[in-house]
Amino acid sequence: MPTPYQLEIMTPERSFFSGLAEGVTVNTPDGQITVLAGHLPMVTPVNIGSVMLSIGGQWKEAFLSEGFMEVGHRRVVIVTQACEWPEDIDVQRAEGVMLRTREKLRQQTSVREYRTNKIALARAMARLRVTHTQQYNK
Amino acid sequence: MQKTNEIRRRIGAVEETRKITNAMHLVASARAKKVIPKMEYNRRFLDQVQAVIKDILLSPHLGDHPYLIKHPHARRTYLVVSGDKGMAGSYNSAVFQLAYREIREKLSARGGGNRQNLSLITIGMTGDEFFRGHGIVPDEQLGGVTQDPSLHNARQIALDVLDRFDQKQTDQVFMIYTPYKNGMAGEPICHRILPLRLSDFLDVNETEPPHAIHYPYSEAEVFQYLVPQYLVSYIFGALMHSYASEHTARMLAMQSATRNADEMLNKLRMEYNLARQAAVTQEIAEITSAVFI
Repeated sequence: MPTPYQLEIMTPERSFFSGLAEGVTVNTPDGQITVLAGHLPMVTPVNIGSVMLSIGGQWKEAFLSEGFMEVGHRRVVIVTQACEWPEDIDVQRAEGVMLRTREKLRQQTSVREYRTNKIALARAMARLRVTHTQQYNK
Repeated sequence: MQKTNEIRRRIGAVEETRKITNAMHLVASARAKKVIPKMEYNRRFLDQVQAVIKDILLSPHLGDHPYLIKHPHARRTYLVVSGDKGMAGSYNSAVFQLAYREIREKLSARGGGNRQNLSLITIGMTGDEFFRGHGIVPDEQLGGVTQDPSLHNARQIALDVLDRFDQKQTDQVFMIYTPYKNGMAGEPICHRILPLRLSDFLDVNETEPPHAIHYPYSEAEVFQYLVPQYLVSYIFGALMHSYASEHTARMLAMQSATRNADEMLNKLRMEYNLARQAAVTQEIAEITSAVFI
C-alpha cells in the first residue's frame, strides 16, 4: 500500500476533509493528475469536476468545484469553492440549476451573466455526474 | 386621580418598549452566535490562499500582471458594508464616518478626483440613505446582503468587482467594513482588495521555500485562478465579520436599552405608588374633615 500523507480539502464554509490519504486525483486544465506521497511541491489550478480520494486503500469520489491544489513536502491542500460527498448532493436542486442555466445560456445575455451561468452549469453537471456514478456502482 | 392614570399609562408604554428591546437583544445574540463558528473555516481558507499568493508574488517569473499594476491617478471603487437597519449603537455611524472621510478626501481638490473617477457601492440600506443624504448618490446599492452573509452573495459581489476591474472601469477597489474582534465590534477599516501588492501579505507565512515550488502552469496562469478565490474569500469574510459586529453591537445597545427601561420602570412605579398613596390620604382627609362639619 502506498504511504499515506496529510491531505486537506477546504472550502470557505467548512473543512471538507482533513486526514491521511494515500492518493488524490483531480482534474486540472490539462487533464487528470494523481498525487501520491513524495510528490514534487507544486501549485496547480483545479477544474470543476470530481475528486477521487484513496483512504485506507479505498477510492472514494466526491464533487469538487473550481480552485487550486497546493502540493507541499508535508501536506497537500486543495482549496475550492465547494466540495461534497455524493450522498450530500441535492440532486433535485442541481437538476433545476442545470435546466435553468442551460435555458439562460441559450438566450443572448451579457458577458458577465454568460460567465456566471457557465460556471453554475458546470457545477450542476459535475454534481449530477458524481451522484450518477455512485448509483451505477451500487 | 389624573396623575396616577397618567403614570400608569407611561408604565404600560415603557413595559411594551422593554419587551421589544429585550426580544431584539435575544435575537441579535442568537444571530451573532450563528455566524461566529463559520468564520474560522473561512479564515483558514483565506490564510491558505494568501500564503500561495505570497509564494507567487515572491517568485521572479510573475512579471507584470493586471492585478498588480498600480495607477498613479487611480479611479477608485469603494464597497461600504453597513447594516440594513439601525438600532445597533454606533456600528453604522462608525462605518460611515470612515467612509465619508475617505471619499471626501478623494473628491476634494487635493485628492484630485471628481465624481466620475469614483464609484460607490453600498452594501446595506443604511449606507444608501446616508450617502444620498450627504449628496453622494451610490452607483450601486445592494440591499439584503448584510442580512444574509452567504457564500453565494459574496461570489456575486466578487464577480461584480472583478468585472469592473477587468473592463478597466476602475483601478483600485477598497472595502470598508467592521472586523469582529475579541467578541466585540472592532473599529471599521478600509482595505484595498484590488490590485494586490506584496506589502499586503507581509504578515502571511509562506508555505514552502518559494523557489522550490514547481508550477506546471505559469505563475501568471495560476495567479489568474487565485485572485477570484482570494476575492470571494475576503469578501465572504468581510461580510461575516460585519454581520457578527452588527449583531454584537445591536445586542449591547439593546441590552443597555433594556437596563434603562428597567430603571425607568422602577422610578415610575415608585412615583405611581406615591401618587396613589397621596390620593388615598387626600380622600381620607376630605372625608374626616367633612364629618366635623
